[in-house]
Amino acid sequence: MKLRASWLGGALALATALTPNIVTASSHREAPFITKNPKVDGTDFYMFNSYEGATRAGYVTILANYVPLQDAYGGPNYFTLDPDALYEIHIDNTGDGIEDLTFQFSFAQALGNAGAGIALPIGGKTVAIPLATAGALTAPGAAAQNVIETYTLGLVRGPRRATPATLVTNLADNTTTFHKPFDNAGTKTIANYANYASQFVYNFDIPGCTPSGVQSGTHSRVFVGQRQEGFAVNLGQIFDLVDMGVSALSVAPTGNQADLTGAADQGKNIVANKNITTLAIEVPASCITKDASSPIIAGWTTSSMRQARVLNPTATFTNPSREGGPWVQVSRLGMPLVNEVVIGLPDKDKFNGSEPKDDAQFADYVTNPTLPALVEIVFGATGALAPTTFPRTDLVATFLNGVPTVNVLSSTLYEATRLNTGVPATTQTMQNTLGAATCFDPPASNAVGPTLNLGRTGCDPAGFPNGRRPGDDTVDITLRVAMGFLLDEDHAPIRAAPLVDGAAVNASMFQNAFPYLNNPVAGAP
Amino acid sequence: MRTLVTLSICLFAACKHDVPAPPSHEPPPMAADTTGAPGSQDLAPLARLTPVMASESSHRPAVKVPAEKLFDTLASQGIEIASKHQVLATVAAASYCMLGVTKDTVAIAVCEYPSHDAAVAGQKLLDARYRKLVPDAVREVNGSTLVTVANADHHPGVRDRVFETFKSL
Repeated sequence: MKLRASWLGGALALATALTPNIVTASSHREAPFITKNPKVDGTDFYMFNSYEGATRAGYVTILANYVPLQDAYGGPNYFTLDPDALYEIHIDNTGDGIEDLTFQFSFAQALGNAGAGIALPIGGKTVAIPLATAGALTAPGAAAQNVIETYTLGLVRGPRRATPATLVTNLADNTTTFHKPFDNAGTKTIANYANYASQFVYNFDIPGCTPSGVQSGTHSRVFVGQRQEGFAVNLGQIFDLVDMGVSALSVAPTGNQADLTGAADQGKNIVANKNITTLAIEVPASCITKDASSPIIAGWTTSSMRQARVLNPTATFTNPSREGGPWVQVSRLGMPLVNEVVIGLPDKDKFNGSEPKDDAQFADYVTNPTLPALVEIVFGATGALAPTTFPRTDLVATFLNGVPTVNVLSSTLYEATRLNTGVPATTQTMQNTLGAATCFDPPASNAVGPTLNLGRTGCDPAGFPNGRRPGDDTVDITLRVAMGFLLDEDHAPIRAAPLVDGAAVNASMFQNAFPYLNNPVAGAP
Repeated sequence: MRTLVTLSICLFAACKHDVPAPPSHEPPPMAADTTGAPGSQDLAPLARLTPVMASESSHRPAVKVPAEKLFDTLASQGIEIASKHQVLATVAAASYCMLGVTKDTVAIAVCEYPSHDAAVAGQKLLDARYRKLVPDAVREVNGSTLVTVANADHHPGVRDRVFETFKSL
């Protein structure tokens, strides 16, 4: 009880420190340093068994989102990725918190007109235009495109810096170069963005792997480009003290699943009109798991920059600065909302630079979380109490170790998205927005710990926290788990409360095919 | 050159002894620089939690049964309040609220209102809006104070004694 008094006593003070850092999506601008570098700010990470149909059975889709809160009209430069950064997707299939495979994305930019920039004859002189496009774009490498982004995709086996990446081959032209589509500037520039973007989905094969369990003749796929923000959240109004209790963190009126798409959780997504840049790959599960008997993987994304940067006082398009030194990781994202609402402000930058194998240093933030205390301060007048048991082993299981009998990879505790690739994908129409969280029976009294029941009505074990799909309402799930959904009522008095954040999300809101996230919002009609 | 340097120094520093010194070494006021601040302005309301609660604390109405009086009386009758702290009153449309928790984790929320009618309205509001959040909550009004007891299904005796004490004050 002394412990409880201690953390509640500090919670109000913590609220002040915590609140400015809870941001508008899973991990957008969540740490002080990354706000200086939006191009390498990882915001969301999805990993799930592909569900678009039988032809993609046996594949795993992984999405890593970067460059947060893009306004579609953000021209003339829009939202290119950083050509001096390294974007990575890591897979650990042995459970030690160290990557066994790393997919590395490296970007390059070039001016149109063979690098000279598109120019116009003006009064007898040839003058470069100031815009990134000079006309309509319909396909990769269009002549009117004045800023051309390309990338390579490499694969490293073992520790990411131990060996150079093996570049994968673009099966469209047998090169190692892939094109990134221009952002959705508007319909005058790109009349049909869906058709345009679809041309930037490329086939490739994973070096050194002969896949099994997939349809013959199919290949891995990659896409990098702008998408509509897929995260749905209403954290702003959750704690909006003006609206408190009305549109704020609320309770589904009848407490049943249907309410999650009803009035209590709909139409309040404050990031719905924003875009994001997605790095998407779809790869055979058999190529990223340890072996056929070990179907569970852990994944996360990072971005890194060179340690040193010297600005060029006479900057040019190709040489605005000089970068050098070893790679320094500046962004990390596995499970949603971790660096957002779990890690304390003094350690947010450290977390972004850390590796999962070293996560013991952050354990207190999970075992003794501040978010439930904040919720109790806000709703204590109703008689609502935060969970009273510490350490929060339920949160350790959810965020650091996996769900027992579903996606526990090892006994090692570290933060990552864990996916059991052996759990059959749930089709789009059958997905439950509360994912695998629906697969638990209420714990028996005084028995701390979840009771898994895969036969439970509505149980969808293919969803968060078994991986993460675009349609999983991770905010609602996280709120409920934080307030003790996996504990018994003796330790979590409001564990059964159907908490919602007022921003609905479900699978039907997204495309039913790779890369699943929707086409971006257009900058102009 | 030396003369020029000396002259320059004189012009810009030492030779200005007849010029009044600036009144203060304080840096000039600057506009808040929020460009490097983490977080979105959409979440700015969060930062108001602390000042709002401070305001609630400094504008408590005069009520017959303040929160401390109830908690002290309960303690004198053997119901130990293991922890108590201020909670947001806005949720209950109240002026001020405190949450006390017994060693058996029975929640006792005490909210103070400017009038009896406001307390009754607050009771109805909480009953209607947060029934699903705290389904076992039981509420009583005495004067312009509203007490909520929750998480007491396993300790109905504690709940009864809290309300008996509350009504007697």
